[in-house]
Amino acid sequence: MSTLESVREGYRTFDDQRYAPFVKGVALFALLAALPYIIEIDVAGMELAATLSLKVLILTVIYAYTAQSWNIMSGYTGQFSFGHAAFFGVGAYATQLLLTDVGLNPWIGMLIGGLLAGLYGLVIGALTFRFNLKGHYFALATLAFAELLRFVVTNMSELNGANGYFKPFPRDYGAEYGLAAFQFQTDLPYYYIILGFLLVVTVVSWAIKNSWVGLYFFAIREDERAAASVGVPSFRYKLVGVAVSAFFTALGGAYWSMYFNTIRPDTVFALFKNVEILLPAVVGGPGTLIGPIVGSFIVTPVSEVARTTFTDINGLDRIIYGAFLVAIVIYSPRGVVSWPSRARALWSRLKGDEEVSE
Amino acid sequence: MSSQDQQSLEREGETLLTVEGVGKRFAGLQALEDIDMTVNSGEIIGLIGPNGAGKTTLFNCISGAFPPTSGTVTLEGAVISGLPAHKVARSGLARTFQITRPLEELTVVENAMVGAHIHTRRRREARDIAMENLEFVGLADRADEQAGELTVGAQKRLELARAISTRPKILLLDEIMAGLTPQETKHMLDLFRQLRGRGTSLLIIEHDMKAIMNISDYVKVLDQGRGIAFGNPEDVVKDERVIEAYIGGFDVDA
Repeated sequence: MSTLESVREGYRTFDDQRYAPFVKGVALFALLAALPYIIEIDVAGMELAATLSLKVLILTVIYAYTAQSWNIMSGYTGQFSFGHAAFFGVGAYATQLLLTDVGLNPWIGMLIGGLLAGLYGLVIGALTFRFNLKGHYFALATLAFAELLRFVVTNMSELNGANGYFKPFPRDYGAEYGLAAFQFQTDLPYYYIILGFLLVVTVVSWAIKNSWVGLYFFAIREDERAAASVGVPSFRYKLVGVAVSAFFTALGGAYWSMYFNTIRPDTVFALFKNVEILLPAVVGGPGTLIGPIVGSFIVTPVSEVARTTFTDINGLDRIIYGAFLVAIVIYSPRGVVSWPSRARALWSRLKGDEEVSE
Repeated sequence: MSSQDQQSLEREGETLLTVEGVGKRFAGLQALEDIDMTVNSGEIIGLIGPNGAGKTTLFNCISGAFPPTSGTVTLEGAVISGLPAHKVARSGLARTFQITRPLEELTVVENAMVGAHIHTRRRREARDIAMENLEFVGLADRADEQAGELTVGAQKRLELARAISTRPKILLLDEIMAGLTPQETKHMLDLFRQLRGRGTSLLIIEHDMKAIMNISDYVKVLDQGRGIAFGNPEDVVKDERVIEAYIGGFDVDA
C-alpha cells in the first residue's frame, strides 16, 4: 500500500510540473506511432491485427482528428455543430476536383479546400450567430447547411453528381507514388500522415486552450452575457472558432479523399458523417484535449470491427454509435475522460465515510 | 422637499456617466420613461425603488444588454447607448448581475482572468491582475476551485472580482448584497469604500435600505419606470413621493 501511495505521490509531483503536459503528449503520440507494430505482436498465438487491422487504426485516427477539429468550435465555444460533414466534404471535393480537372497537387488542393471550408464556416456563423441561434436550433441550422451541400453536389453534373470523383493515379498528375503525390501503395505511410495531422491539430488546440482565445471561447460557452459584460466580443470569437474548426475538418476530408479511391456526395457529405465526426469528442469528453482521441479509440474500432464481422446485419455500426451516444449523454455528459476524477471523488468520499464511521 | 432640486446639490468630481431622457419600451409596456441622472467620478450612487420600478432595466440600457428606445447614455462624453455590451465594457463600464452568472466550469481565477484580458493578451499578466483582485475580495485562497462550486456569497464576490478586473471607471452593481449574511454585507460595504478610494464610481441597486443609505453619497429613486427623487439619503427618505411609492398600493386615506 505504501509503494502505491508513493507512486501516486510521485505522479502528483510530476503532474504539477510545467513540462508535464508536454511529456504526456510525447508519450501519447509515441504510443500511437508504435500502434501499427503493437497490433502485430503475437500474444499466445493470437495477433491483435487479426481483428484490429491497420485500416481500422487509420479510420480511428481519422475520426480522432476530425473530432479534435470539431472540438475547437463545439467543445470550446459551446456552439454545438451537427453539420461538420459540410466542411469535411468541401475539403474532399476541392482536393479531388482540383486534382482531376486542374492537375493541382493534392497538398495545395487540400489547403484551398481548407480555406473554402473556413469561408463556408464564416458564412454559416455570420448567419446563425447574427440571429443568435442557440442550442438545438443552432445544431439543426448547421445540419441544414450540411445537407444543403449534399443536395447541391448530388445534383451538379459539373461535380459528377451522385457519382463523385475517382481518385486519379499519381502518373495522371505527373507524379510518382510518395509523399509529394499524397499517394502510397501501402497503408503504413497513410497512417503516419494522419497521425501527423492529429499531432498538428492537437498542438493547435493546446495553444488555443492556453491563450486568451481559449479563455474567451470557454467564457462564451459558459455564459455569453456574462462574458460580454467584461468585454468578450462573442460574435467575433465564435466566428474564429467556426473558421478554424472548419479549416482543419476540411483537411480531414482531403485526407479521406486521398486515402480511399472514391468520394461521393453520399459518403463525404453523408448525413451520418456528421455523427461520426462529433461522436468521439462527445464520448471522450467535449472541451478536453485528450477526449476526442480517447473517444475515437473507444467508438471507432468497436463499430468498425462489428461492421466487418457481422456483415449480414446491415447498419450495425450505426446502432453501436447510437448506443454509445445514448449511454454517454445519459450517464456521463462530460465523457470518458472525466471518469478518473469521478472515481477519485467517489473513492475519497467512501474513505471519508469510513473514517467517520470508525 | 422637492426631488427635482438636483442642480442645487453641491457635488464633487467630474461628470462621468450621463443618462439623458432614457426610455425603454417592451411591446406594450413602458418599462422606463425619461430617466435623467448623472454619476460623477468617485461617487457612490444608490438606485432604489419598489419591485418592478425599472432599476435592472435601466442597468441593462446603460450596460448595453439592450439599447434604450429613447434617450442617450454617455460615458466621459462618448455615447455608449446602443453599443453592444462588450464595447461598453471596453469603454470602462463593468457590471454584475442580480442573479450571479459565474462561468461555472472555469476556475475562480479564470473567471477573473476573463475580465483582465480586456487589457492584455498575455496569460501571466491577466493572471496577476486577476489574483490581485481575488485577494482584494478575499477569494485568493480559492483561486483554483471551480466557480460553480462556490457559495452564493462567494459567487457575489467573484462577480465583483471579475468586473473590477476590467479596471472600470464605473461599476454597476445589481443587488450584489442580496442573500448575504450581515457579516458579508459589512465586508462588501467595506470593499465599496475601498473601490471609491481608488477613484472608481459605483452605481448600486439595493433593497437593503440600511446598507444603501449608509454607503451612498446620493440616492436616485425610481417608481414605475420614472425617476421620482434624487438627493442625499437623509433627504430622500423624507420625500413624500418616495414614501408614497414604497407604501403605495395601500390607500392611505382610507
